[in-house]
Amino acid sequence: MTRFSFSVSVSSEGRNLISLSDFTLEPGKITVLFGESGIGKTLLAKTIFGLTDAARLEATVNGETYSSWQQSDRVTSFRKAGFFVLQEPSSQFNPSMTIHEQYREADLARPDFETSILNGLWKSDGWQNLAGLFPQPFRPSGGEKQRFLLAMALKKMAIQDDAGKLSPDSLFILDEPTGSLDNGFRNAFLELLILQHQKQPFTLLLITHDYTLIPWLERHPSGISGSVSWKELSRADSGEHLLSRFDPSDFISWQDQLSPPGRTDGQILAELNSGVICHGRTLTFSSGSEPIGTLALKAGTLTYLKAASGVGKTTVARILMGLYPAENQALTLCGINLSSAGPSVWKRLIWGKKASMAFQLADEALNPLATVRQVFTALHRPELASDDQILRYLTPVFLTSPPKDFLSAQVRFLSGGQKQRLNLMRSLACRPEVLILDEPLNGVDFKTIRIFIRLLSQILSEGTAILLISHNEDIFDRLTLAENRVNLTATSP
Amino acid sequence: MKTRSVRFPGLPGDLFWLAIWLLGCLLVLLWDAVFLNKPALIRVWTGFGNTLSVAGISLVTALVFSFFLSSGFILARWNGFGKLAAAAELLLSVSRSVPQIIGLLTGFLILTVLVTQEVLTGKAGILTGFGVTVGLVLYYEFSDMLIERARWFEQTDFIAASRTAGIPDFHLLFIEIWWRNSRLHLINKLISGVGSTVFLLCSIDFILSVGLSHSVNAVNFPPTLGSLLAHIDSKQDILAAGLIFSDPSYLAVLFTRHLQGLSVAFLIVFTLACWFKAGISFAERNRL
Repeated sequence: MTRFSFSVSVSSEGRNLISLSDFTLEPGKITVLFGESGIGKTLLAKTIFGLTDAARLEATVNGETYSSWQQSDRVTSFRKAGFFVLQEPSSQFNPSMTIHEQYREADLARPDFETSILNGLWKSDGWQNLAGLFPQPFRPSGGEKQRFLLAMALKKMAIQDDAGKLSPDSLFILDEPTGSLDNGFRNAFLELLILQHQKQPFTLLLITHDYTLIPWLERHPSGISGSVSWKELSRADSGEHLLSRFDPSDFISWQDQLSPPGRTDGQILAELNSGVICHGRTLTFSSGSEPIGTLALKAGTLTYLKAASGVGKTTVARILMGLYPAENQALTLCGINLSSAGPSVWKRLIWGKKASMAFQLADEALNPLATVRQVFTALHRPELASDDQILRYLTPVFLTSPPKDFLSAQVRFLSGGQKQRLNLMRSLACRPEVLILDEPLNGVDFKTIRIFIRLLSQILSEGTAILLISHNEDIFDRLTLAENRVNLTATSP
Repeated sequence: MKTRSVRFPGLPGDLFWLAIWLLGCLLVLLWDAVFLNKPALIRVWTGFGNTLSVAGISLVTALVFSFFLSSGFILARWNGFGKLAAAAELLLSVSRSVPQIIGLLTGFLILTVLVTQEVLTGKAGILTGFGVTVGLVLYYEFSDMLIERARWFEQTDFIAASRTAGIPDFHLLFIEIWWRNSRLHLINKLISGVGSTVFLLCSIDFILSVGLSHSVNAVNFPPTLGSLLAHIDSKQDILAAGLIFSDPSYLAVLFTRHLQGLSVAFLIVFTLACWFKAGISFAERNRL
């Protein structure tokens, strides 16, 4: 039993949310914890750090009641010597203080270190214009807030190190620290983290869905891979939580064999002009360094739309689906000019007929109170009217036909991966000619990633034109030819 | 989450308060049956029944009216009929800006005219007229809630994702948003609506009983709790309760001699209190 061995159980109204009899972090090492969203990773970490709401949930840690655990010396020392970066950056900021004030508050009240850390995370001094802001829901952007939070964690490490207090006994927890960052900023953060860890090791729990961290860390010249332990949290069919070692070579070998599926000579099914204006910003497209006149989606081709977070990738997807009005717009879809079409035209001719879109957040896209059966019967499609038809339809994404009672399960009780699969399958139900996938790998585990990529090849082989938005560049760059990678830039007047 | 509103094992707080209300009313009925003279007994309990009937009719009216207005407003907005949506919103805003009591008085003036001219006749017709009038004054509380629920979902990807997947607008609004995700809100609104309706009705009946017309009065209007409360016998009964401060021994006969007024006053206050508590408990139980 080490200082970082935990037996955790959390339930609500008799429903088991997380239960692990042995969750151990190796002192002085980095533990990367994978697992599909909703499996309980965040709850596990928050419970250990004493951050779970004891009034709402029944929890025990190492056999202690939760209120006793929260007041224990161990939790006090975790907080004093460590730091917890929450998954949702907005929830960690105090809206009535500027970011700069919060960056120098309490344990962080030392002006040294901050410039070098922030410059490193921004790769410039661009943070200076943002530091004086009061955090609001949409400003700074999610990625910028996340970098400020990561800067706080790095600053705490540096301060502790400077005072000779950073040690393997210090626990830092970073929950989805790179979820809103593109690869460039993600790597900049990881470089700083590795540098600090190699200078003075500490214990780190890094919760993530980003499997592409594996090859990056495994192949890092610093040799940090020797200090990383890979784990995966999953749930057995019986509902029991399982914590297992994740073999990094499984992902690396799978990723290395990825190659572009589909074809490149298909007919153009959708076109949107460069220079379209939405929400006061002009959106332009380029391929490589060459500007292109239109974003063209071809039959059987995967087009990968790329940009830093917050630039407007989802905005482009929404314009293409007629959900956002835009100026200076020339849009055709499946031969229909939709440049000035109203919602009734989209409804009659396009939505759920010729085109559909799988939205980024399955939790929002699906009705949490509907059953799996109702998700599909709501489409009023004769081929998805009976239980047998729905089960057969879902088989490709569940590998085997799900049990019949799965259809009666409410969406809110499904795991993140199951929800994401339903989200994708609902958008495919109309067999669209044009499909938009917005972050399809969000919140899913490696097993589901493999299923999705296989399904993607199948959809492309049927001639569907796909527009893909994803921050998983290491995966999708391998699945697209350079000519089908479109860069997006936005300019404001 | 721990459920705080359970009073007895297996009996949630809202049902507890409704059970208390039913039990309390039953006890008063039994007491009245023993001690109240028959004509007064019939008057009190007919008035109680009429009041509840009007409350029921007004809730149905409010629900139906708000359903059509809200769905028209939301579907017009979703489908790009901005002018129609703006007109519906204007109608809502105008009706919201009229104080309820003014709306009710106006409605009851019209009712009085209709009764005087014998356009509206018979007890059922007049009670329905009462109910519809109160319902038209209350409807915006329901339509605001229905529109608010749809707006809440508009802030997420739910509506856009459902529509682009091909889910018809009617199914999306009526089944997915209102039925599956808002019916508890609606039930909660209905529970609180019972209290609002009884309160409004008693207020207006009380005012009305003073007499808006020579030819329309408490005799040709069906009795309700409000009109009974305004009756001189009830007022005397309630005033008699004050006697116990100067003569505490009077308490022994208060509940046998002055039952009409006390029963009516009790039924009004008790109904309002129980339904209010039931609404609060229902909201707590369902975390609304």
